[in-house]
Amino acid sequence: MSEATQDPASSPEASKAIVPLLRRGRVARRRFLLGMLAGTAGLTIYGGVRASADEARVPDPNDVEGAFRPNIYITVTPDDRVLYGFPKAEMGQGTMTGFAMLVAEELEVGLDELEVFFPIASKEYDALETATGGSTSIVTGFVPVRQAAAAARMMLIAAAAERWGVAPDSLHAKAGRVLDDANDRSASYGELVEAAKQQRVPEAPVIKSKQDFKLVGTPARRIDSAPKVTGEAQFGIDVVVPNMTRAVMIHPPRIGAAVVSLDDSKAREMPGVVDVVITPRGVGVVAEKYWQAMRAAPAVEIEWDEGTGPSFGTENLRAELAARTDEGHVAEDEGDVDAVSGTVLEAEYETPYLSHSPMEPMNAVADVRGDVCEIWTGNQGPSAIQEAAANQLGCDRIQVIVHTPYLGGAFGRRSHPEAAIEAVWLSEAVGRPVQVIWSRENDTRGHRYRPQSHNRIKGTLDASGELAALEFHAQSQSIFASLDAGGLFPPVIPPRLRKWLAGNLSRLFDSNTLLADTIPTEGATHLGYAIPNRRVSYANFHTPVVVSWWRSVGYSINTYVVEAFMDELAHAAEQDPYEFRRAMLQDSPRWLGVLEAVAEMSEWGERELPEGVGRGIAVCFAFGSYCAHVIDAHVDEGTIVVDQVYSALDCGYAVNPDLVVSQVEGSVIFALTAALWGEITMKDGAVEQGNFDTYRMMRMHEAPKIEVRLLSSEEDIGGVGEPAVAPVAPALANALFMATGHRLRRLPLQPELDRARARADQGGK
Amino acid sequence: MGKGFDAFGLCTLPAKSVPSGGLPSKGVLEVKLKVNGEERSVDVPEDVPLLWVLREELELTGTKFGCGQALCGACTVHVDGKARRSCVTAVGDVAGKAITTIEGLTQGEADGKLTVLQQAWVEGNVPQCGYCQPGQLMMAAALIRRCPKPTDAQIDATMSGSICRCGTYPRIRSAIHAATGQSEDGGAK
Repeated sequence: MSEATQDPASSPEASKAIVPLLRRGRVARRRFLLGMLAGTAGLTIYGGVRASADEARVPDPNDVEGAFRPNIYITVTPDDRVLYGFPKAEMGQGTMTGFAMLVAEELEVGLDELEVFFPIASKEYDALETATGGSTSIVTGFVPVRQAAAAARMMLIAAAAERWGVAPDSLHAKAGRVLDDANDRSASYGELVEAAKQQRVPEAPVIKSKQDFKLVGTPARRIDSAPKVTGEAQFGIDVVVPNMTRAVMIHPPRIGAAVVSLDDSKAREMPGVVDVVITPRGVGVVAEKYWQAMRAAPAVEIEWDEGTGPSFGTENLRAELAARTDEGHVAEDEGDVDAVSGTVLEAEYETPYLSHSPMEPMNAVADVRGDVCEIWTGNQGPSAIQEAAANQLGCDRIQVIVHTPYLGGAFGRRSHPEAAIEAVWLSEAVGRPVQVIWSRENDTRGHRYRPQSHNRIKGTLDASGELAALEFHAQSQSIFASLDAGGLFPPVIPPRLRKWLAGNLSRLFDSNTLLADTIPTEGATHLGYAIPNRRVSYANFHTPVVVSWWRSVGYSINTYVVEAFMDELAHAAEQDPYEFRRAMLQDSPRWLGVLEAVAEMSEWGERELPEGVGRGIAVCFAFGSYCAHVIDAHVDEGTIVVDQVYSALDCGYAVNPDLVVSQVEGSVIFALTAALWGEITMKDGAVEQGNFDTYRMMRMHEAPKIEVRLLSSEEDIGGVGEPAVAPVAPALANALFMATGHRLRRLPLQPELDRARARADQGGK
Repeated sequence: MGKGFDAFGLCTLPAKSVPSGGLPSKGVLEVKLKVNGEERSVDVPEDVPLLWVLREELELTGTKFGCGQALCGACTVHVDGKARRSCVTAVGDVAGKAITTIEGLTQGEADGKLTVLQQAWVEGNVPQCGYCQPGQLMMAAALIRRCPKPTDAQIDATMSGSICRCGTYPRIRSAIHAATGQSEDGGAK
């Protein structure tokens, strides 16, 4: 660590000295910690050594003396404790409970007996294994998580067999003990720890078949509920470390704006203020307490430059996209769409930028000290944070220790490490641990939005009213091209190649030639509908706005476009929207299964709806699962009211059916918020929304009844956290067409309905 | 020199978006508080939001920061038995009053036992991310004290102030009904 910043309560003079170094453009490659490399020059860490655990302020709970650790996940202690290091993030999706159920099942311990904790990121874990997103955790963990637990079980049984001089086959495990029924004896796991350590780790651990599951497949209670209802659960924002300071970030008022000049003299005299630091992402006001930083921040006078997008506005972008004719790239091409004739229907659909807005605003604690940078932050990818912090500090990623507490929501947002990097910069500057907490406005205006899009879609109905051709053209912004952290790549890729890839990612995707970007068209390709001629294409565009994965990602845009347009086609063909789809899904049994399920649940076509109530249907395949919704809605004095949602999900197999149902319920409400009101707009480079008064969330009294049915197809496991988001907007738009006669081709629907009604009042349409 | 920027306003939403934490500081005073039955005293200006006194001075971090403007309900505590948004409550205004936080909700229960509401939350798999749930529970606890068998309309009226981004509303409603028995309207919305 540099001399200038070592003083714990660095004086204004000392910290002033570093301000000029932090000017924009210079920070990215600057080595903050001059002593860091020298101090670790002799240390070679690659190769599976957990070098960071000893340096951590909070060691892993599984560092128990004398414990049996057959692998990095499972720990059995001599006093009969069974610990499981859950390598993913728990952000509400329930994976922590799901994985714990898999472990408890194979290890033959009660779910309540298992002590589950969040391990620190280390070299032992693969980067992809610790990343949480894409509704992949149960899908990818279903077998390996059980194998890890089964290995422990087999070694404990082998230890007992050795002790008693019997064959392992004659023993079995139950409730934390190994039992020898023939000789009426048993030993607890703790008693077998020493002997188990001597056993060979099985190369192919034997896992149960589904019909032998006792716990998996049941609607067990979440293991994280008790701490979450008592306030004990620790989220990133709750972390306190000794000598910690707290910081408010004053982010640029416009995209990419940098500080031109700053007068912090008043702020520095305010109680508790430790430092005011210019960073590449705005100004950090560091104080002993957060409330002191909140008071001091308005006293900092800042002049910003115009930034990287001073004239950028979302209305301008809409106009540009409407006029744009770039043909782009073909993602799917079947048959010949140009050879078909019949009744042609064409439409343009638009979706806005969206903020994730988890309830816990982005935050992080960083403690940059000596050879170590220790970070506590709710995140969806600790290796990305390690990589990003190491890049900033000019150190090796193994010197960055990341603790992942509970996440207070994420929805994709916590894949990105900005708050952690801000905390790293500030901790380096003040020489003490710093906690950065974004205000709600910081969070809403913090970018990483779902892309704004403009999609064109065209369908041709033949003489018999069948859909002969479908053309879909997406204009969206590449999320991959927005990525900037090399931490995306797993450690098996050599550091130099990782760096090159990180530096060139944007160019590779921008070029639209070397790497196919599937996100702009996902939800429009691989449709289950029997449409003989299909063409799906995309032409990405670029803006100064940074875009991100937002729960269900491209599907949240394209399923709306495709399924709302299916409704238009059905009406044009004078067919029932359900029957129209059903006829085209005869060879797609899982699509058909969820579609028929919601029709049955809602008594589609069999029940008279109350006057004014419209009903819409939509179906999709996303993240390996199939989902359909029927939504009933009406308009009450101009306000959309969602009455009822019927949902069916086929995720192949549900490890915990009740938690799967809860994910569908949550997805519906999350998606209704976005479909009704969600919209981030920008003008002159500034975001126009701020707190929940301007970025509206669905509330208790607005939430509809939701009925969920799970279909167990016994097929491959699919994702659960995201699929049910995608078909909500089209089902609602379709319901509103039936209720009002207005075809709503732009999200969010409430303001679009307002505009449609206003136009109708003026006599036009 | 450019104009000053409020860290919370970031220039596009004037005045309205300035939280009480951004007001000029008054002098530091010793404020005596009664939190979860214990007498506590803190040396802070009396206009500091109660939320941050709880979280930072008393290290009671179960009460959450969500919006800073009484828009989301994550920071809800009880003051003399009534639900209050601690993010916009000046600590000086509640000196001497009985403050209950989520950590104190189980007071009056046998050791280690959850309240009937918390138990219903656990049994109903209500929490997802769980961040808003302390605030939801404090709202619900205040509701059932006032209204032991709330109807759906009463639940709506009280609970609509608390945002849950994970969408646990249907389960919160069911858990309140499960904890209090069927209401006169039958309970089901």
